Amino acid sequence: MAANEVLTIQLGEFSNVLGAFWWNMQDVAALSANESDLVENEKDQCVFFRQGKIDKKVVNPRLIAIDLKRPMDFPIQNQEFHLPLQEKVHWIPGENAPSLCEEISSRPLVSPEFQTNDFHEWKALLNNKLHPKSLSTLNNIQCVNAGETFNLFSQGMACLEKEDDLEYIENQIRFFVEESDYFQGFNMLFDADNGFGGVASKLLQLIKQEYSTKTTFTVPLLPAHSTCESTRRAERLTNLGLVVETLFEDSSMFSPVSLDPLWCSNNSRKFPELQNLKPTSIYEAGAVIATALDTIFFPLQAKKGSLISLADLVKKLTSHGRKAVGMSCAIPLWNGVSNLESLNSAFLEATSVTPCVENFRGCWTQQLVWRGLQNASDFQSLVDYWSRIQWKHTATSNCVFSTPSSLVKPYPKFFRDSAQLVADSSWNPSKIGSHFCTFGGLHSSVSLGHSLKNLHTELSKIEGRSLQNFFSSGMEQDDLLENRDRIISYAELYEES
Amino acid sequence: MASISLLNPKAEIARAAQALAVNISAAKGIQDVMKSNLGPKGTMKMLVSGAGEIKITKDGNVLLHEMQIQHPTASLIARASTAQDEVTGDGTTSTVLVIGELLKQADLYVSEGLHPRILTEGFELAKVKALEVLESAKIPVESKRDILLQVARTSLRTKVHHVLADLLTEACVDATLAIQEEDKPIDLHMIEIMEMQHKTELDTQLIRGIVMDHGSRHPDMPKRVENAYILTCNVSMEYEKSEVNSGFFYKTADEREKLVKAERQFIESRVQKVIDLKKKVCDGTDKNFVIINQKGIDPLSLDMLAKEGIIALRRAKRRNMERLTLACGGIAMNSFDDISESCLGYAGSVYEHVLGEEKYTFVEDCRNPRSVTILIKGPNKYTLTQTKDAIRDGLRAVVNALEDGFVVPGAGAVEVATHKALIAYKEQVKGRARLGVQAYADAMLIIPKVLAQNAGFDPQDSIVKMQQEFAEGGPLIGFDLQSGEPMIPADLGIYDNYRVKKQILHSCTVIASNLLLVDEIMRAGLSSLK
Ligand SMILES: Nc1ncnc2c1ncn2[C@@H]1O[C@H](COP(=O)(O)OP(=O)(O)O)[C@@H](O)[C@H]1O
Ligand SMILES: [Mg+2]
Repeated sequence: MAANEVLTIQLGEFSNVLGAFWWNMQDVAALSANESDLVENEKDQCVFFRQGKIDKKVVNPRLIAIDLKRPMDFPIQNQEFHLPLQEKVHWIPGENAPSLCEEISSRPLVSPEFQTNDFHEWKALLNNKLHPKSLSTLNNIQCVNAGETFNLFSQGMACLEKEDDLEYIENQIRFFVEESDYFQGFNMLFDADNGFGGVASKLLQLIKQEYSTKTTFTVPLLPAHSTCESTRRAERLTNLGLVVETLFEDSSMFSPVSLDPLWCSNNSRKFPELQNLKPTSIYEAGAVIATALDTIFFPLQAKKGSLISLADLVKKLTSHGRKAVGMSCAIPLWNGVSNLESLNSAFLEATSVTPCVENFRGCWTQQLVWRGLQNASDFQSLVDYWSRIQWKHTATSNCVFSTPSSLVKPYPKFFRDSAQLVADSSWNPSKIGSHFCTFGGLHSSVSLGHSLKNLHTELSKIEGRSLQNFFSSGMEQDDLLENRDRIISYAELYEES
Repeated sequence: MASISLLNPKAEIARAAQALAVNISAAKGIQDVMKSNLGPKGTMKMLVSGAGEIKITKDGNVLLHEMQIQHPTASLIARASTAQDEVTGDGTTSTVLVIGELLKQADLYVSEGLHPRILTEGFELAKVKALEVLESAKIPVESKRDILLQVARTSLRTKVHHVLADLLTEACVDATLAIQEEDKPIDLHMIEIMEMQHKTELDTQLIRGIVMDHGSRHPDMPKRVENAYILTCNVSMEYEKSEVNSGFFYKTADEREKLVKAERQFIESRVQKVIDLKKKVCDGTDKNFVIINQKGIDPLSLDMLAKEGIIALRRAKRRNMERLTLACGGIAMNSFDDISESCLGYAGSVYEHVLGEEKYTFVEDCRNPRSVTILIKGPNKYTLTQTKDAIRDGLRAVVNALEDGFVVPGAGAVEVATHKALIAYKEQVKGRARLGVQAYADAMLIIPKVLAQNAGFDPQDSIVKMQQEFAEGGPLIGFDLQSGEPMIPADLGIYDNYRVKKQILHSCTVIASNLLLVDEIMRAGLSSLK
């Protein structure tokens, strides 16, 4: 039977960067599968990629990527605009204080961390060609006036308030769904700590209304910040609170991902094999999280046995309305997992990328994916056996694949250099780049309840005056209080009965 | 030291004279940029985005949206002007020019020591008078199509090349007249604007029916039918692997198989209902059957329909449900439980058009279409965008004229008349407020001046010619941009929208007065800037 198509929606800079890595990795896996007999052909690329209807060789991501509009330059006269003003006017205070407009113009649209990376736009990272309908920019962000930033959930909601603006994106979605024969649902990656949270919320409502029978899996992402001034921190947390509510109401399942200790101080994400990883670089963090997603999504594209549909995955992991699940990964997975002992250490390598969550503790159900293991079926029985002993009360499904993850330009350097990462000498690196084993898991566990409680605690500590921007954007204190209560009731879903 | 700095020492302030200087120079700055775009002879601006996207435009609204305006005052003016566009769909450039000019004129008096408050009082008086002049200049939209064509043409010729403008003019007027209903507000959403990257912009046309940007997904379905029943619906015709397929609930593969089959049958019976209706109404006649569904149709269902020669389109736009029933008649169905012939619409022809990777479906020759499509063509993205922006404005101009019931003469005629009336009125105004009236009167002339200047004529000279020609009680006199001579705009069919002019008077007066009355600019708010 033909593939069950999934449409990916990426919202915001971090998601788009991460998405670029993800698409790159997926594409090579397909290539190697076709061109090299080393890899069994395990993957059906048509789940996430679309094929040209007339020219079947045309393959591009089934994707809608939404971005902030970058202002157009008006090359010649732009300067005349502010220069004369600065010459004529002297501002009274502090001799060297920058003038108002100077400062306004120097304020970046996105947080400064983004600019320390040596690329200008996420599209530059992407190796795939996109269909023209894949790209979308938020045009009518009236709220983003010169100098104002797109920081608030409420701004995101507001910019799709007008029917016509929403309709534009709706029609893009429709385009990709229309050409799919067995459409199964949506995979949405979005920046959850700024205005894109609100955009996601609007889109989820729309999807729920128009595609009620389809499944939506979402990954709210929180880029890490090296420093975060307290007002901004309060805003980010508040955005996240609102996002969590949206996702519990309107998505089928979600897994928050971050390398940032935003609301738990002990949430330092350590990847034992990636010592140089800078969590605050969206370029590096994006690559790592993309690798985790690439692993976790593999079973959706499996050609045989372990194929699972989004709907089944969701049903498995979200009993009792527990729509939030934790994500873990081991990148790379130590090569020698072959016996019970090495399995033990493999699990020590697994890192949770969902903040404040210890995935294996008090876990009800989990879906684990192992990639790059050559004797897939032997390993399958081994790991199934091991899981049964290790977690007596956990329903675990293991999916084992021999297709490894692939390093694809422009994957970050730190990773590429380390020679050990090349999983096995039988992979021919010169031919298809280097490969490595990975592990990824989704878990429904008690600990998500703790994470939600922590979020609630942090939200409760926020003082009203740090939320001035929310209030002036039309949000009411009561809305936020109500939101906090909701978070607690979601946390209660995770109490053991 | 200002008292604010005691309350909040961090507030940055620029006081009185300086504040005014900031505002006036910002207003002049933005006026300078926009000036060259006014009128049919205005020049274009080319905008380039970081990603290399190109936009060529002379539309004030597009410019203000795309340009990165950072100065607070300039962006305030820009916002007033985009608000103007939202309310009326036109007049953005004029707004910027008039605000700039009001401030420029005011500057002359303020620098001689006149208090801004007195000037603004004069502005207020002048505005009331100017509105009276506008009122008396109104021309009723009687012989409908003619005047509508003229007002649309005037507006469109200021946006795009006149050959294209004339083509679009017809399309805009006819489209609007088609969807207009007695005693109901006009809903422009019922004019679908469809883009097709193909041929040139001069192949843009009005389709009296609906064009959709997708085709049927089955190779055996007909590519073209005549004389067709149209079934518009929002009913899922795809088999969803719900409960049934997810392994765990069913003990045996057999049991599962059975349930899958039952579920499948449920969908099949839906499809069968459509087929039954088709057989009933079409078999034995020369009629055909087309189904357009907002929900999905899976390959098996498509197969069943194709065998019956039915054209089926899935996942149609939400808005097209309404458009289709307006264009073809019939009812948009939410279930097939009791479908009958009376639910169906009709189209004389339905056909597919393939362009490379893209497919379009035309539903045409409808009996009395109250929803139509303007099909924009063009060789590249930016031509398409430019044409689309122009069509939006053209449609707005037609709707404005229909809703107002009036138009006003263009080509600077109203402004020259207003100037004259205000100069006369000034004599009746007591005190120094009359200086405000004088400033307002002079500011009005910016429009004809710039129009003439952009056409390559001397602004001063042109104004004088117009004023000489314009006699008390006579017809309003505008400026002919071809000959450089005064003329009667009504003779050449140059009309502007009444509400556009009215809105300009209102909003410019308010913004200019506000900017004049500012005596401190401070950076306020919480210290969240850094
Ligand atoms: N053919 C014409 N001859 C003279 N003036 C014209 C002509 N067409 C339009 N105008 C004038 O041009 C002005 C509108 O110019 P336009 O570029 O559309 O600016 P705006 O953005 O303010 O609408 C109006 O004052 C109108 O009367
Ligand atoms: Mg205009």
